[in-house]
Amino acid sequence: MNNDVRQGIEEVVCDVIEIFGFMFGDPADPGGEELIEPGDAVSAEVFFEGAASGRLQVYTSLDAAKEMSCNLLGLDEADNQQGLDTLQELVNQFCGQLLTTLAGTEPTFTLGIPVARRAEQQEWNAALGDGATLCFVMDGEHPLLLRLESEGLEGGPLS
Amino acid sequence: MEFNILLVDDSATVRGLVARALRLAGLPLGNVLQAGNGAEALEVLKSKDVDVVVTDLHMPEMDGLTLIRHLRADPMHKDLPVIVVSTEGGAERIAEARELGISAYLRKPFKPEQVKEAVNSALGVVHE
Repeated sequence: MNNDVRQGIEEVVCDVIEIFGFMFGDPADPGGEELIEPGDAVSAEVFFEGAASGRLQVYTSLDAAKEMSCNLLGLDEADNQQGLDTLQELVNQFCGQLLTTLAGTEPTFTLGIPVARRAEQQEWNAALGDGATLCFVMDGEHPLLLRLESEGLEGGPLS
Repeated sequence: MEFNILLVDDSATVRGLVARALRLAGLPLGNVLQAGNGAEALEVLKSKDVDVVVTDLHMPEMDGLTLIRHLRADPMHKDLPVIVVSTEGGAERIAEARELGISAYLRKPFKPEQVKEAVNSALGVVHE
């Protein structure tokens, strides 16, 4: 991943976190303390196909997903299902924005239905240890890991 | 005068977010009806009066473009204003939606004021 692509992805992710989630997002160092497995890890993923195919996965804490739900819906407290639903929509929006940022608006993509679930500690650690994973911190405390696996996205505007 | 709105999205979060944005904007909302996909939306429209539809494109069972095609083919709903709110950013898909006569196309993530403006504009069309 070249620096322009990385920077493009980071900008999209932080914008979506801010506009959709009403939180501040910042790129983070994978070795940072905030990125240690939170104990209530959740994951969401969405597949895409078309001009390129692949999968986008995110990991965060259930606590963060529920806090985002509260921000969005004006709730004092969100339940687990609301947190997972919000995380599904978050990965959906990341994916839609990233595809047009990386490939432009001409290619056509079809996104799958996003799915969110609880995640195991090993999964979190594997994602964190993967050099292709991008790391973020939301509101200075909530970790977010993002992995984009794709074939065919090379050659877009940021390549 | 209050208006009734139908929110169509497979994400309960997005439906809640749009409803909240409209309430906070002070729009005179009557019934806020919800559906998780296009097929559910058509069921709602059989029995409820709706002034504006806000729909996602990408949904299970029946997607947003199919829903809009059904509406345009139905004499009862052929002029019903439709606002699309979607993650889809491809030019072809947006053009396809516009050809079906939608009132506005908002890309997710959207800002609350964008929804308010789109609904105001769509209602202006209704009351002309």
